[in-house]
Amino acid sequence: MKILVVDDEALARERLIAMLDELGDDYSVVGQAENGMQAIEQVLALQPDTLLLDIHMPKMNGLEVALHLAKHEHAPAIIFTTAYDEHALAAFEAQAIAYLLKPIQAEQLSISLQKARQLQQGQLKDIQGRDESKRTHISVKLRGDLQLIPIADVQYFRADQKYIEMRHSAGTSLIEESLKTLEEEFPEYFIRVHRNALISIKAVTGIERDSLGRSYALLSGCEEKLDVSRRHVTGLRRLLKSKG
Amino acid sequence: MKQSDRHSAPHISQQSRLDGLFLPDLCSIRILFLVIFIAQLLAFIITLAASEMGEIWLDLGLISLFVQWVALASVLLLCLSRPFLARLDNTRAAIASFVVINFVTLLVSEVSFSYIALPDAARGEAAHIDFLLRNLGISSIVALLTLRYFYIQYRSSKSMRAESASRIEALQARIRPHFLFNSMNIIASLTRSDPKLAEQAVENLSQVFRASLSDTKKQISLGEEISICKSYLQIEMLRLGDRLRVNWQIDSDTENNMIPPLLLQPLIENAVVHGIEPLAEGGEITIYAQHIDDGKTLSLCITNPCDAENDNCIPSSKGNQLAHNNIKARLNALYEGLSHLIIEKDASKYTARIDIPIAMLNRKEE
Repeated sequence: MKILVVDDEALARERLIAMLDELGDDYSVVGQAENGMQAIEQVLALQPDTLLLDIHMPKMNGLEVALHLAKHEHAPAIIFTTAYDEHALAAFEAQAIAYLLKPIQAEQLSISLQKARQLQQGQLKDIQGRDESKRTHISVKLRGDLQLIPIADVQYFRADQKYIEMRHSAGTSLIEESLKTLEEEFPEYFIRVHRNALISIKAVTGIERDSLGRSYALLSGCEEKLDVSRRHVTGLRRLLKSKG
Repeated sequence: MKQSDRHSAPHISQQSRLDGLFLPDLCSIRILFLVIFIAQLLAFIITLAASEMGEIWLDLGLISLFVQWVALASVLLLCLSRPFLARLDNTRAAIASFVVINFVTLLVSEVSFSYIALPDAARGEAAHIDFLLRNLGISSIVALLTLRYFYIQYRSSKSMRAESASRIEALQARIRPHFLFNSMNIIASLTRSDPKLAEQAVENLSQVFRASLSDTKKQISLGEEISICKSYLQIEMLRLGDRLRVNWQIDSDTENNMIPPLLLQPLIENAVVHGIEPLAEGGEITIYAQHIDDGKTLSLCITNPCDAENDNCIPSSKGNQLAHNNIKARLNALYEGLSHLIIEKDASKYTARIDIPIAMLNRKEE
């Protein structure tokens, strides 16, 4: 079994690797990562079977890593490790998700690894929303690969029949989420301007009106203008005023 | 416990005995003013009730003079006998105070009866007795009411103090489980790779927890607190490696100030957990201790880097708030609102500062 060890503390990784080493040849550590972003890169590059994933990490925490990986086709089994995490643990208990408490006991580690293959990725989805921290990235599936777009780089989301079109600084991607959940998850980043669109509060620069009286939102770094529906014009004006 | 108290610090046990007395310090200006005020009210009541028409102002003057004499002489006597009263239990102390007040009344009545010019008709033996008894009656009732008032005051402030003390203890005992288990994990790891370092980590961890479990009333010097913080930071440095950098700016003349234990450590822990840990590259924490305001104030200050992208200095995050509320409550309980925890945040830096007037520190040192 190929294992990737993810923890921001070098000594914690060292210990896990030493313990895995003692468990025998069945388990081989193929790599290490010290933050969430690195973890995802390593998973895509090394295709491990199992992830030992710390929850508390800089640059994207373990829970978010798991959520993004859940969409990946060859998603590895995930065993969370944490010193203490009341909220997450409660969610794990409820969803029968594997976790280990630090300091990790050798016996527990071996039991979890044996079970690791049977773990259901689908269960991870329910962690979302329980965790206090929000996603910092939106993940996009790209020909079996996984691309992560930082929330701050997104200019708008526009619903287009089945998918949502996400415009960001590196291009346009299609994602399968709902505008409503995005709006609720990131109220400080996006404002609703139309039944079918959320725009970035950071990127919006002004409102334009055409001869027919229709309003459009102008976004920096984006030549396209987005429809603003009548009922959202006032809210957008107020926002622009407060931005100065 | 008792023995060591008596042995090492007799003045402390004297102080705690005085704290156990229901009578407040009658020589303090506030209480003195209160007593004068009550006495004057009493003078008004007696005048209103007994004075003939047209005589009110003259009577009020005489009665005020009389009542204030009794009140002030009683206060003086009770104030002087406070150390003696403190040795009795509160019931006996109350009886003794009652006797003192009535004794003073009797004395002042005797003196005024002999010196104040009264019409001859009112100068008989019977009038004399009558005058004394009336005055004793009034003073008994007023003494009872006043002593009762002080007792209730004492009870309510005592229960308030007990409540805040227990809250402080509860908050301080809140062992941060994250820190404990992470440290254990580090030690488990080091036992394999570097037993010497593991040994050090155990020593450091013990020092931090000993401080958490120590008597909350006992004050420690700033130097000792800094040593606890250093132990704490050494463990965190093992955990975070070179992501955590610490810069100490401690003026050596501040180290002898006595402060409550674990005043600085929770703020430093906040800076590590909320300021440094979220940063993949880490950062530097700076800790200042200095005298400001011409040496009238001790200023303790902890800064950590802020990074908008990583949102690492949201002052409202729960863990942060818990430590802040704890420290605010302790500062409030100890320094009666004269010391504050000030949080400042700008684009690149998060600062937590505690200013304590040196006068308050010395007062608590006794």
